[in-house]
Amino acid sequence: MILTLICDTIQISFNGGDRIAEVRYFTRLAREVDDWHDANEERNAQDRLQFVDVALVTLYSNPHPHLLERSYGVLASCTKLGEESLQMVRITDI
Amino acid sequence: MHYREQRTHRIFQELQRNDGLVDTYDNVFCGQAYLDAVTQNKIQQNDILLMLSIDGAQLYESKDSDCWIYIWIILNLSPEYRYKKKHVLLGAIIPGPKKPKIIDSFLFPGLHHLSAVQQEGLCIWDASQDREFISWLFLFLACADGPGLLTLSNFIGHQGKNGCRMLCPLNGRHKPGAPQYYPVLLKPDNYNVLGCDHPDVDVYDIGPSNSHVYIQCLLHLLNSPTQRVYETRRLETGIVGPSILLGLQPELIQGIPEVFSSEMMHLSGANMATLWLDLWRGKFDCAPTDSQANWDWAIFKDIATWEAHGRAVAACRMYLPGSFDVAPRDPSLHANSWYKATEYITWIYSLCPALLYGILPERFWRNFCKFVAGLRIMAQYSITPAQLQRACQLIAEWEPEFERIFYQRRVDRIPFIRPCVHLTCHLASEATRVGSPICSSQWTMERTIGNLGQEIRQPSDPFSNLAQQGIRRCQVNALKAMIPHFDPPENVSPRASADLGNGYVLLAKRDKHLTTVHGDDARVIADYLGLPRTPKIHRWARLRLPNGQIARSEYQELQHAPEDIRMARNVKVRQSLK
Repeated sequence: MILTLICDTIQISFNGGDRIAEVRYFTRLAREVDDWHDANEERNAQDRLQFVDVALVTLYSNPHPHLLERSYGVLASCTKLGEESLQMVRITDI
Repeated sequence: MHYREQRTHRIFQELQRNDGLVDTYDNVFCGQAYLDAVTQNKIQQNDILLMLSIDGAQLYESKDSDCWIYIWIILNLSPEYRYKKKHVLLGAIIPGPKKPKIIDSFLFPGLHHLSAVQQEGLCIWDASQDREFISWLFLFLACADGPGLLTLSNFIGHQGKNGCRMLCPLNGRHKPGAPQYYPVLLKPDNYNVLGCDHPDVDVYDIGPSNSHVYIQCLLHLLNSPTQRVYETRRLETGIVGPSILLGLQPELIQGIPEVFSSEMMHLSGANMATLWLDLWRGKFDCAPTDSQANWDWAIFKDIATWEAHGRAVAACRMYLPGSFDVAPRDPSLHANSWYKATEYITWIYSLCPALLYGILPERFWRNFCKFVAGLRIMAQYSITPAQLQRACQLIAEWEPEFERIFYQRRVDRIPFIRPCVHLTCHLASEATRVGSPICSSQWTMERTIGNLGQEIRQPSDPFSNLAQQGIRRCQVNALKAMIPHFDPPENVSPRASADLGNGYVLLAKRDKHLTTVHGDDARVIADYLGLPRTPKIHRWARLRLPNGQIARSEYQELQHAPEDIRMARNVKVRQSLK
């Protein structure tokens, strides 16, 4: 199914290679600090963990290039890529 | 209050770094007009910059509730604060319902007061530095819609030969025998109306006028020996009489017509929106020499197409995040009843490029998209010089193309080129002069009218009621300013939220307990962490982004019927994906 995404005008800029994604949920994952041993041996066990803030998303395709070009960048038509595109993205990339 | 000083300092650093260009146009201080005034010492460190905004309002759905309001906006405050209810100063509420005959008499008390303070200076004590100083009040901008502006400018108005609100030298053209002029650039075929038969005008030649020219023209007009000469000169100059703003101290106003800039809200939300709709619906008067059968662009003349379009617009509601404010209703049902500027803007400039693809013939659709692309840039709060250049080029290409494909140099189609078409051409150059158009638009005014109107609880005697509400608001705001304890800061992080830093905040809902995830979700999480088994997690429903928008997710949105929500789970992700 073709979904025409109408984004905030401020957000449309595909020249930077940005993608549109549908968020399933946000979460904070606890992960061990990689370089913990080098940093400070004295710290307790809790300090070994830090949060990675992520969103679980499915992607949309890149916008239809012909439509995007013909419309001077105002019409971005994307299709859902579905379950195969399920992945994690860092919250700071949203 | 030191915002202007700090910002000005930063802008001058940007200018040095970037060969005379600012990083972005996002404030009136980025414009050439302000920077020149500062370098010429016309505006000094302690001075206060003001913007005046006037508009007519209808309090209720009936015409009987017309009134006029003007407000002052203090540009020294940062844009985050200056347009807020708490910092907007009410100038006057002029009661209706009849249009005031001599509006100057209502503007006079406020402007007189300003002029007096301008002459003597305003003595201010800065508590943060314990210092007293004299501040001069500088009127930097005056905003209004077309008719409202005439009350301040005393220009001839958009129907005149010299009808531009910025008094630019472009001469309009009119149909033989019809009094109204239109700002048509291309000369019509077989056309020899006296005074209007100048050759094609280059769109790049459109630029604002300046106060030297204005004063010369005004003197020329005022020296008219007879009524007849006066009328001829009025036509020539586009000026009816002296503007009331001439009563202010000349060194403390940007100048006439420089003080008048473009007005983005009415331009995009009302005038241009109506122009496109009138074209598509075939609502223009068809001259006897013309035939509607040739209007290939009038796609909505067919009732079925129009109604289908209306349904499609209404169906988009659930896909529009709440940050778009009111979602447009079905225009085929509601277009006459208080259809808001925001609704028009979302409908025409966000939805129509998609909804009209394949419906509007290709060349009209492309011309429309070109306009939308330019307008979207101009409507941004912050515009980079590169974006501005692109918008300037898009609009400069769009205008002559618009004339060629719609009006086609036909005398009987001159009325297609309404004044808003011309004003669009001013947008880009105005941004370099006074910053991004949104900073000097009428949105604040509209909001003030809206929230004052809401505060009227009693329908009888609305005008004095409104005036009392206005006075009370001024009193409350003054108290808050004097005794800050009355105005505790809002709690920015609501209950059950997690601040992630960098402006990102996770918001409720959240799983009460750690939850086991299954299926693909579990696999992806385990892969991501490089763990053999997926840990239990708390799922969060919403995320506030640094720009203030709130992204949602399937986690909670799928709990509701699609019709009941405004979907906001589609986000743009920076391409750092694996």
